[in-house]
Amino acid sequence: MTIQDILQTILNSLPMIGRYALVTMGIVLIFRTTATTNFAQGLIATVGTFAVTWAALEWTALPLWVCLLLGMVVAFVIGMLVDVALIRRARHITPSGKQMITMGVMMILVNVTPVIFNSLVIYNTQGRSFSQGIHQFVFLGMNFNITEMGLLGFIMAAVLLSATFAALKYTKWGLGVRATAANETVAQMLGVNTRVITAFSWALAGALATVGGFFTGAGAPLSVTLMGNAQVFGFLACVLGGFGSFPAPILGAVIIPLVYNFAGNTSIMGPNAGMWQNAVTFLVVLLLILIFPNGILGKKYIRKV
Amino acid sequence: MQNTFHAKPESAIRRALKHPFAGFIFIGILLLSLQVLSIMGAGFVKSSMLNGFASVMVYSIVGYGFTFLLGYAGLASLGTAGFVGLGAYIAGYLIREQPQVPYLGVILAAVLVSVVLGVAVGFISLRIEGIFLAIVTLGLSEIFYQIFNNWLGFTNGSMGSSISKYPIFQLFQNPDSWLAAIDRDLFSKLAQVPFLQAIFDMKTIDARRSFYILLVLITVGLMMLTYNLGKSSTGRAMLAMKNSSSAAQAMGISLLKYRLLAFLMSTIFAGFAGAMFMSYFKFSTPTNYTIIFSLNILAAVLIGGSKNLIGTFLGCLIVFGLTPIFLQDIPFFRDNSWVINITIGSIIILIVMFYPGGLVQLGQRFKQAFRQLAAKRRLYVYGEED
Amino acid sequence: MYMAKKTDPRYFGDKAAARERRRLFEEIEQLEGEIRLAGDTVTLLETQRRERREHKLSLLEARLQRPLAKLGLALASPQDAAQALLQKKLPGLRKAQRLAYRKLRQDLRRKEGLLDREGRMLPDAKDISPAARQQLNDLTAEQQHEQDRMYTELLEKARANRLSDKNRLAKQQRLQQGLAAKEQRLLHKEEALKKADGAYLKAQEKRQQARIDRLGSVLKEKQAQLLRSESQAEHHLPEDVCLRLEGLSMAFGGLKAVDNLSFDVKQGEIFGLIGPNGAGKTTVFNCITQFYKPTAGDIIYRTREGNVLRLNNYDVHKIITKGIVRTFQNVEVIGELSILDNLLIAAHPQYLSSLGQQIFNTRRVRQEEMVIKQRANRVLEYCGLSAIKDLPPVGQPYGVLKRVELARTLMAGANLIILDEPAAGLNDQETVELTRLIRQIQKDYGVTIFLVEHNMGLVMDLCDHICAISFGKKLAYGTPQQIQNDQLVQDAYLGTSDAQELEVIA
Repeated sequence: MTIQDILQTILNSLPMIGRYALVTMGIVLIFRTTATTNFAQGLIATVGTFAVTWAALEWTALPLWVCLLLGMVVAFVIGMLVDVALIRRARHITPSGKQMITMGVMMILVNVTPVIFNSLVIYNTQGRSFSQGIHQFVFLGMNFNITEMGLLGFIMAAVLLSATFAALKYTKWGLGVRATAANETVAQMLGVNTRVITAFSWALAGALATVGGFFTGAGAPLSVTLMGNAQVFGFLACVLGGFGSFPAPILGAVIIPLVYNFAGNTSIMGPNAGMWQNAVTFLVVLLLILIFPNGILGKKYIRKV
Repeated sequence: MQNTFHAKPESAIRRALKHPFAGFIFIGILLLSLQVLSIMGAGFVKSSMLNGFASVMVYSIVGYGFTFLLGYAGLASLGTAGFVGLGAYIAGYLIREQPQVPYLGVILAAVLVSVVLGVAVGFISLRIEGIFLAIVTLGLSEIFYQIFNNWLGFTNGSMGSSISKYPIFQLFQNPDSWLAAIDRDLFSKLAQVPFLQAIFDMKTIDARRSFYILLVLITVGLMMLTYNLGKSSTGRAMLAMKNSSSAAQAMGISLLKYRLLAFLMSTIFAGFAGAMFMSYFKFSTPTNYTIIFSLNILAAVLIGGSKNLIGTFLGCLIVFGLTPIFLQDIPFFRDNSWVINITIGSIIILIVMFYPGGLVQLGQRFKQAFRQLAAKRRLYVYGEED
Repeated sequence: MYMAKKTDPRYFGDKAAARERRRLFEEIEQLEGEIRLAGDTVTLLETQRRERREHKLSLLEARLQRPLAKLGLALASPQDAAQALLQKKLPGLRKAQRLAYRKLRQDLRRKEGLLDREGRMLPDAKDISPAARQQLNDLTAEQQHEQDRMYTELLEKARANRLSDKNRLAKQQRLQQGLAAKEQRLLHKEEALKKADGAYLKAQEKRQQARIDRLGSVLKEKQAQLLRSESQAEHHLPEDVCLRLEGLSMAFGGLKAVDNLSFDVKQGEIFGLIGPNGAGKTTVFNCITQFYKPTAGDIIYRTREGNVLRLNNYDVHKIITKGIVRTFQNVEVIGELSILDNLLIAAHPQYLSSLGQQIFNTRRVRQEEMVIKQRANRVLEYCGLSAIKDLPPVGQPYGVLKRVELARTLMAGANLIILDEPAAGLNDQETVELTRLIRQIQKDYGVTIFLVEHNMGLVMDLCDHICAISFGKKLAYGTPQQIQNDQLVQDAYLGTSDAQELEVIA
């Protein structure tokens, strides 16, 4: 294992970091504002991605970024609908109950999506992508390569996340989100319109995740299990980083792809690395969580009696 | 105490109906009678329907363990799929590759591994709480999923693990091992009883029917035992722990002990149910044991009211049983299987949203509505009371 | 959890011996609990059997009475017989007639438009018309008539069935015989039952006695072991002291919530800990009950049996078995369980049956449940909660919940009761009642009570001694009178002027 190898592996993780960070951001937004662990997050993103691909194949003249925007709008609307129609009305029920509702949404989306889009036969066709190229460059006298699409995905994720964090910090909406996250009832009493806040958080979560979904699935045959791993890893990223703040889960979303790519590296893990890549990643992440039970950036919580 | 003796004497039947086990036995009789009807040649009881009920029974066993975990101890786990799968694959591996191990040994192995797992997760639960714990167990379950998919020697990978024979009722495969010798002694004595002779001389279909009956007995028995534990000081201690862990500790309840116990219950029941699944269906693939399965169990328990065993059974019937038992025979649903899943998803959402107390609450609402209706009629016909 | 950094060997000699002693203590406690349980079981079974016997006898008597009643009826005068039969039939008839009356009245009212659609009287409805009134009166008369007719019919029947004198004599005799036979049967039955119950109870008693004997011998052995190891222990706790804090400190990170605090709580007194908000009062409680492990210092405690323990060495869930029970600032009752079950939770360490026995709900489990439920019922009665024992605590007034918590401490067999702001959230009336209850408990059960409270009236009224703390440090200790006159305490509560503060620092 050379230094070049290590650096290349880190480089290979960048696209995944971008994608997972987007999904994770959505999960944590939803968790903090509505205390719901959203199992439908991956599926909403998948539907968005299907929509992007459908638009790209149907209207070939349309620029791809417009299609991407369209898909984001679709996911935006679905996310908002879920909150307005279901989660908002279920405020009084337990967290596991809310979890169950998102699971019901997931069951419905899993079954509806193929039916809607299968008739348009994008299920098995290749989608369009911005670029098929591989970017090669020399750094410190060593050769590296990264797919241009992956690089683009990472950059786009970085930009979107920075924008989201800026919005959280500086806009009125961001203030509202933080207030709602701290205590919804108090926020409401202080005049924050929590309905708009939560609905927009759900919608934004869907839209962000769709970008992640698009870069996961671009240029390949799609299936409804597209975001399965991203969903589970997104949750684990939140726990690993710590659910307590907004940036902490992103740290988790950075660590997990690194672990994943190193676990898949044949020069470390041996010839069967690919087979056990997922399992090893889960194992390492679980061990990390056991070491940091409150999350790496989480605070220790002293129980008051 | 005094009152119970001086109350108006009740008839024996009414007293029996009021017994907490009455519902369990009623379910058992219903399930048994289906099999009996099928044996007697009733046309409407198809074998797919019986298999559907068998799967509901197996999953309801998982559900009882989970009821303890969620309803009593208030802990959430999304690792159920992995635990069930492990039981199934251990049973499959032992029955297929190690035929000298007697069936009881197979069950014991599945349960023992579950015990180890339960202890491990129980200790984890002391460090990590609430939704975090659920996500950690979800990760654990994913590791098992990878194992089921990739450890070819043990699980036969994505092709699925299968066994060729029903593991009991035809037990004398390898006479060499000492455990089998004990079995043989026991069973050869039993086989001299005229009635039991038939059991040792069964065709495949008979063996399946026998296994179904055994499954009914096991399900009802476990319901009773779980109910007993729930009503005992242990169940109360767990409820106390769920409602206020500090009060529970001040009252002398060890969090470690009861969390471990709750997880042990859930993993042992899951492992056992996995072994039962393998034994009855003789086949198991990794795709059975994805996160969807864990969520389905959670849904079934929540739908049932999370503390009620009959509710859990009915929840399993809705979540796992609707398709194979009822909907498959309707052509529309058979051709559009996606409609079924959407229906189940919608049912879950509706029940969770409008009846957070589950089917139990729904039943109470019905009773209430009926009473109100009767009162209304009384008012209409007879007017107000003076 | 913060672990104690210091394990002082002063109190228990070397560590291994200390552990051994703790183990012995625990086993002895368990054995004593089992012996108590066995004893209680026998007495409870006795009363239970007696009640069952009476019940069975009353059933038998009713059964034997039935044919005799028929005889008696035949022998009675026709009027009496008819009257007796009427009494039996009349309620049913009256009910049916009442319903018919109400139906007619409702129909009439509807016809006259006095009702809304659901059948309720309209708010401004007049009385029904005279014609309808007449109709109703007719019905009433008719019904009265029907009742009379029934009586005459019965009377007639009784007259017709009237016996001839010869028959009468025979029947009279039979009745006499029947009555005698009945008495005989009852006596026999009672004897038989008594015999069976006696045998059962004797067997039970023997069983439990054997158990007690067996446990007793083990207990003696353990106690002897404990005595032998006694030489290793050096406790320093004066006879009249129940709880002693020595240099207790508790730090959260850099914050010292409790700082080198020492004081004694005397046996059988009511002791108050006061201080301004954030003074660390609740932290002291949490340290005593081991919710927090103190960073330094010792908590020495004398149990009801006179054993002296260093509480730092025990887990939080073991504290209750030493007779220390606490209540909580914001009432922690279990919402999902009834009030009775809440008490049973407090008796959790008294349940000694194993998990396997519980799963199969063996006789031992049932007896245990029975005995402990009876204990709980007694405590509930003492606290005046019997009437609501089967209700869930959710929705009960705060005062009741506080009383449930107190009942829980009694149920646990407390020697030292720790009350965290018992009067918080109560109105004046409830506070007065609670004060009375606390005082009564202290008198009746001979317990030591240690409380934190902001309601100065209550503290000054109730406590024998008070310790005032501020920022985790002791300000003053003494009787309520002394505390009231203490300058430091007044300053802590009312604030000091800068000049005074400077003086103190200087």
